[in-house]
Amino acid sequence: MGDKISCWEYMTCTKSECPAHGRPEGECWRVPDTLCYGEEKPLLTEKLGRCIECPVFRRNIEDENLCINLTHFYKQLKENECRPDSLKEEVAVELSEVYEMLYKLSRGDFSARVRLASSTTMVTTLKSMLNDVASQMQQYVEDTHELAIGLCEHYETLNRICRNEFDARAAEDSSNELIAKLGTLINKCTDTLTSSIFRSEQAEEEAKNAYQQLLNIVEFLPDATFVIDGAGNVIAWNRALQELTGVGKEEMLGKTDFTYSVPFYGSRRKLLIDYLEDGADPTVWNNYSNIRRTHNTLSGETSITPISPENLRHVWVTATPLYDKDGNRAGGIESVRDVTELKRAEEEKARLEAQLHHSRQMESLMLKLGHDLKTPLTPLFTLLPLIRERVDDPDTQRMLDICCSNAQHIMNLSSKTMRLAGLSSFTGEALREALELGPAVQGVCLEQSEMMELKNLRCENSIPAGLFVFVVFDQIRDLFSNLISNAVNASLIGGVIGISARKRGEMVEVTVKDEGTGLTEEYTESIFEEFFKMDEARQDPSALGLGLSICKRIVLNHGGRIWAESKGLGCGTSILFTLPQA
Amino acid sequence: MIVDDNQYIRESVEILLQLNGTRLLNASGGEECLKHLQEGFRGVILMDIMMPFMDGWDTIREIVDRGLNDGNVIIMLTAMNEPTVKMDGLQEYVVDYITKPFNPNEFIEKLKFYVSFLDGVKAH
Repeated sequence: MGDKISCWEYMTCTKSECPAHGRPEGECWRVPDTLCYGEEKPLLTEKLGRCIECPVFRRNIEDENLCINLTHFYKQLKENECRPDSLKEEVAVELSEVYEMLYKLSRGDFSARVRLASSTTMVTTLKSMLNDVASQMQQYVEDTHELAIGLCEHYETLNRICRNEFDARAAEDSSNELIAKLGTLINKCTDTLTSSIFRSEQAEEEAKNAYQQLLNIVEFLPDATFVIDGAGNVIAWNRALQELTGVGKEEMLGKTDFTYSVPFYGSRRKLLIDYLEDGADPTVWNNYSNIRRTHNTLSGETSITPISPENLRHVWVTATPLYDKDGNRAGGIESVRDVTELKRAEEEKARLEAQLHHSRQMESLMLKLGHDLKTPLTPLFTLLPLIRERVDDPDTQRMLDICCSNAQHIMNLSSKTMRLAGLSSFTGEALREALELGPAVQGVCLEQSEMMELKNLRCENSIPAGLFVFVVFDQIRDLFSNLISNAVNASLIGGVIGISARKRGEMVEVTVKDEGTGLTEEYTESIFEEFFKMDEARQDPSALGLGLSICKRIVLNHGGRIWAESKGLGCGTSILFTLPQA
Repeated sequence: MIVDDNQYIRESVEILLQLNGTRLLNASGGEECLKHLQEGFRGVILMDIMMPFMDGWDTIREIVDRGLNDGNVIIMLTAMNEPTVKMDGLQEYVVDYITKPFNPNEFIEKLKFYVSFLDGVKAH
């Protein structure tokens, strides 16, 4: 709306005595007795009828409709001055309708409408305005109702969300823009909250799973292990520990105040895990030996008596502190490895190594003895035959023969002992070669054919052609030579010596069988011992009792095994052994 | 010549060879052997391997180094067949090996063979 204009300024009026002149609020048409019409001073109603035509009025009342209505209004007012009383009554009736309408509106009935028909334009206009007010109020009420309903619904939705009903959704389709936007906002907040809660639950679930996994790992660790929290409560006690101590986790979980030491020692005392913070505590040396500290980890050895005081176990213990994500101490883990058997094995190993060392010394001694025996034997071998040639007395000759024979026996014993000692310290792996077994055995049989003929023995070599073994040739020749020689000695006249072989996995199993004196079961093991002689062989002064020991050593050197089978005395003997296939 | 630190072996061989009409010089070790060679001995040398101070192989090394090998045949007397590092490069100067204790007849035969071999070389 433009600025109000004043009549005296607009009309350049100098009549300062006019009541409208200098009036700050303007609106000269409402001022009675103005000097606009000279000395004439019309009634206000008449003056108003004239003022409507005034440009000052027109300029100030910009609304054209209001101008028209007011014009009609002022005209009506002027006309009513001269109307009959009946007309005034009609107006009174219509005013009562207006009054009724105003009453309904004051009671909040905005759906009420007043009849527009009227005898006067002024009242019709008034009624129309009243109807407009009612209509607008009704619209406001409806809008307010929509707002209230929307707010109630949103309130209910929020209430449900507060009750963790995250599937609750707010309506976003309200005709009220504010309520619709509020609904959208609530849903977005709910979505964000749901997603956040889901992530939080997921994280919590993952944390639970990780914790369970950790417990499972501890549970199935091969070493006996327990875990305590920062307050010293046992929070894990695994299966291996239950087996070691006989105390189950149900008895131990949640226990504190060094209770975890009772299954180990039968009383409460500090374990290695309790020395983690104060490794300098000298009592640790009373309880553990070989203590080592690597970073935060403490390890040591000790003996425990789980289950019973007699059950002494040697254990290797490791304790490590546990920290939370901020690096604060949150407990510790201790694992206890039962090394009793290992310790025994180590002691056994040391014993065997000492035995091996002694055995090597003995071998070396035997080799030297064998060698040194040959020097004093040399003059005997040289001189005894010369003396024998120069003696004519048969008794003296017999005595010299016995001397020669025994010198020879010492010589054989020395040679075989040296051979056995040599084999013990020499496996000859580098000298192994592929050897076809059949022809090699045939060669040894030929060497012994003279001996066999003396007893009219037949040798049946049924080793299949093309069967190769990976062996040291010299040793294998010795092996068969000894076995065939033994078989010849054990055989009765006219017997058969059978030699056969077959593949057994990566090995070849060989059998040398005779039909001779046989063995009782008690001798099937001992015949392979050094200097062992069967009763029959004890009668034979040339028998040494070393042949099968040499055979056993050769077979062992080749990674095989050797054993004897016999159905009893007089039923023959089979010597079986395995050699690596080529 | 027999080179052996064992007196009984030296004597036994001496008796055996005397009976077969073969002359024998005795040396109880490497030094004595070298002395005989320096004094002009040429013939078959029966050399024991294991001797104190100077063993058979050391003695052969000295014989070769002093140029006393020509006109001799060296036979090693051994109780063991095991090879040693010391014999590397010296085996070419050894014509035969006799293992102790030896069979007297075989010993004499072998010795006679090498003596006659040397006689044959001298005759040429």
